[in-house]
Amino acid sequence: MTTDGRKNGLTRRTALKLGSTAGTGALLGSLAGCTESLGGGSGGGSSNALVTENRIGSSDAGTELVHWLLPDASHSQDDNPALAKVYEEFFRTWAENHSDAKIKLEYQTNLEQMKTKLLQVAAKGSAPSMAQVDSFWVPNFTRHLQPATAAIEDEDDWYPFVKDVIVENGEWQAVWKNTDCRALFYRQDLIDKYNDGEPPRTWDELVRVGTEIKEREGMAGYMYNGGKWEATTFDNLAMFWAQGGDLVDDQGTPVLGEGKNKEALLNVFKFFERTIDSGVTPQRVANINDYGLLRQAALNGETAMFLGGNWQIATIKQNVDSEEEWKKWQVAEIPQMTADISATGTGGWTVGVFEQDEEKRQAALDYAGLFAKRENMGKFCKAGGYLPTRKSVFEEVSYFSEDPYMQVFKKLLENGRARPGVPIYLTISSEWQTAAGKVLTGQASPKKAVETMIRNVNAEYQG
Amino acid sequence: MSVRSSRLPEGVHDAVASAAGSFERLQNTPATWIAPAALFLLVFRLYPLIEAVRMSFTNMSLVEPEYQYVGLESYVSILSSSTFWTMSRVTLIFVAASVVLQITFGMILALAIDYGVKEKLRGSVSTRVAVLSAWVIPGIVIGILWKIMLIETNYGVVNYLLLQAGFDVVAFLSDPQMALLSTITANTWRGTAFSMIMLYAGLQQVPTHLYDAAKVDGARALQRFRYVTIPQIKPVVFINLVLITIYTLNTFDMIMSLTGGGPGHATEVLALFMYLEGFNRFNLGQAAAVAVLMLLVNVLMTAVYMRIFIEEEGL
Repeated sequence: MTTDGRKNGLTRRTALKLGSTAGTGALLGSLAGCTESLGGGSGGGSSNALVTENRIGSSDAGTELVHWLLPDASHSQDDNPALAKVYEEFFRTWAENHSDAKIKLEYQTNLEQMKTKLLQVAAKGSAPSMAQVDSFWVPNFTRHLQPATAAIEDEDDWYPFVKDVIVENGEWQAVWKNTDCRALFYRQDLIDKYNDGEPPRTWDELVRVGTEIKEREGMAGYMYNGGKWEATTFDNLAMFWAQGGDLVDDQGTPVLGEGKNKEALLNVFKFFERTIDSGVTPQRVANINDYGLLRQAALNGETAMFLGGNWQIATIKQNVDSEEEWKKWQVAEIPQMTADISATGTGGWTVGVFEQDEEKRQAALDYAGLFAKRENMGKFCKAGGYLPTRKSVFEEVSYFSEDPYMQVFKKLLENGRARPGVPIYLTISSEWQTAAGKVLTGQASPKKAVETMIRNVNAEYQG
Repeated sequence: MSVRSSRLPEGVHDAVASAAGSFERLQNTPATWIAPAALFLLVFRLYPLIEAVRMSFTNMSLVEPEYQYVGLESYVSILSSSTFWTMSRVTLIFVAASVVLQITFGMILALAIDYGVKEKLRGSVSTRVAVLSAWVIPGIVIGILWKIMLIETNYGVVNYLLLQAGFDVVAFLSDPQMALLSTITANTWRGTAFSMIMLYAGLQQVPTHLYDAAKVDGARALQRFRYVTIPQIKPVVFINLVLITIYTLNTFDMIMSLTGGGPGHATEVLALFMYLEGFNRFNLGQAAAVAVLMLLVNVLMTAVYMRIFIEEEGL
């Protein structure tokens, strides 16, 4: 390289000028881009469009509402085009019915941070007009949520677990738009062979059938989440709840150490120990912290049964080659201590209204109400692969009424139960995960693990 | 700096000259040059540190905007919990084993590469690049990579190889002891590159004539390493020890994705406990107290290292 730029036909001064011009151009271009996005014109929509990436309603509308949501709960998501279309349809309907109002969509990028941020802004009185609220968190917002009863049609049509969480002093606090549940997934061909086609209903039956399968087929009988994550608690809580156990009382005080609760807890942890000791469950479940690992084990022929979430039947379907293969997998109630009890954990999302201004509150309520209508809920849950929270959707929307899996989930939801939305639940869950890990790996007996868990939860609660 | 101001009115001329003089004086003051770095340290280092100490004396929570000062309550609560001491033991094993292994493997690799470069052997650059690649991968990704390698089925990479060699499937992540061992192994794999680079740089500073003199005196390879190399690179070893101890003590990302701290508390180190306390259970006060305790341990470890090395240097 020569040191004299002129010899190359391009002087240093010219190069600097060109560089400066290009830099200025890029800067101006960026600024123009920023201005455009600040003006809400992103997403390829014009400023007059009724639904753009960041706005619902006309840009000229005088009243503005603010909606907090995750990107996958909107029309701008890429993962599920069918669901995006349903969202867009709902948004458009709202916009057409509210020509004088618009909704500014504020996307939150992280679920946990969204919950925390929402709690903080709600406590400071600066909550958005409405927000996507995890059903499990609704009780934390009781002081801030505006009544949503007006948006609810036919209150008796909603599942009891919805009302247990959402209805406070006779008022609905939010619209629970979709749910999920936990179930026993089993291989029908193996259950036909080893239990006359009937999935096990009790722990005894599960261990008996599982042992037989393990010995004769060389695979695990039953697997479940046992690693350090929320599902280890949530999935297995069904066995505790079914026995009549309660984690907290009406005031949110932990009551794990009380008679029947402690007994129920101990029974669940003894069951964990039994699954490992009998060899029905491999010890490696102590490191399963992803539903995908259970699906993987199922599809690799490593287990005959597992405790999973309702959405997994769709993922199994996507991951196998033939209909015959995925139809081998059937769902049933979670085996319990005795055959006459039943429970399943339920989660899902709600739309909560925080707006206090009467005019805006009504507009926000109309938005939330879109998800409460039977037809809309059917459409929305079908596109998203969710379970509806209204019984009639299971009965009247053909996608649900004609699908045998959905009909099982419908039955399971009758005994659905949500986690208590109290701060101490986080400690209970964390302690449950630790205790489960210790029992599954033989570091502690069920009795010792349960006692340590109760002691730690109570110590944390008492500060 | 000169100012061309001969045509300016006298008053303006004086003002400009005075400003120029002040600027020159300012330029000659060390404070001017230290100020940007000092400001950076104050804002991004010292302030968060002071804030963490302040938070540790409160019952601050992520979900409650109100909080009170509770004195040493958070510290008492943590120090009186048996779980904390279990995790301290796990942390001690994890840090001690990781530091010893990282420095040992780092030294072996540095010596091998140094030898390779001196002997003009092929592959020394590619070896350095390969080892360094482990260091630049984020901890979370390393955890996931090792998790895939250690899956406890016949399709897990390591278990597949073991099965092929006639062994049984090993419970790398679900057996408490094996899980800790796996975590140490993954962390050693990640940190060895850093030690290697540090020690290799140290080896470049050792004068060749010292080795020649030792050879003339009849010193064998091990003796040359013991009596020439080690004394010459001691300051680098010291810095390396301090840094890898701090890095390892603060590791939580890799463990979070590899084992989540389980089974039970088998791999839950203090840094992970601090993270879970703050961002899972939302107890910022207690999480800050753990952070302050870890800071004290870091400072203490550094002081101990310094004392040992400075005493040995006879300073």
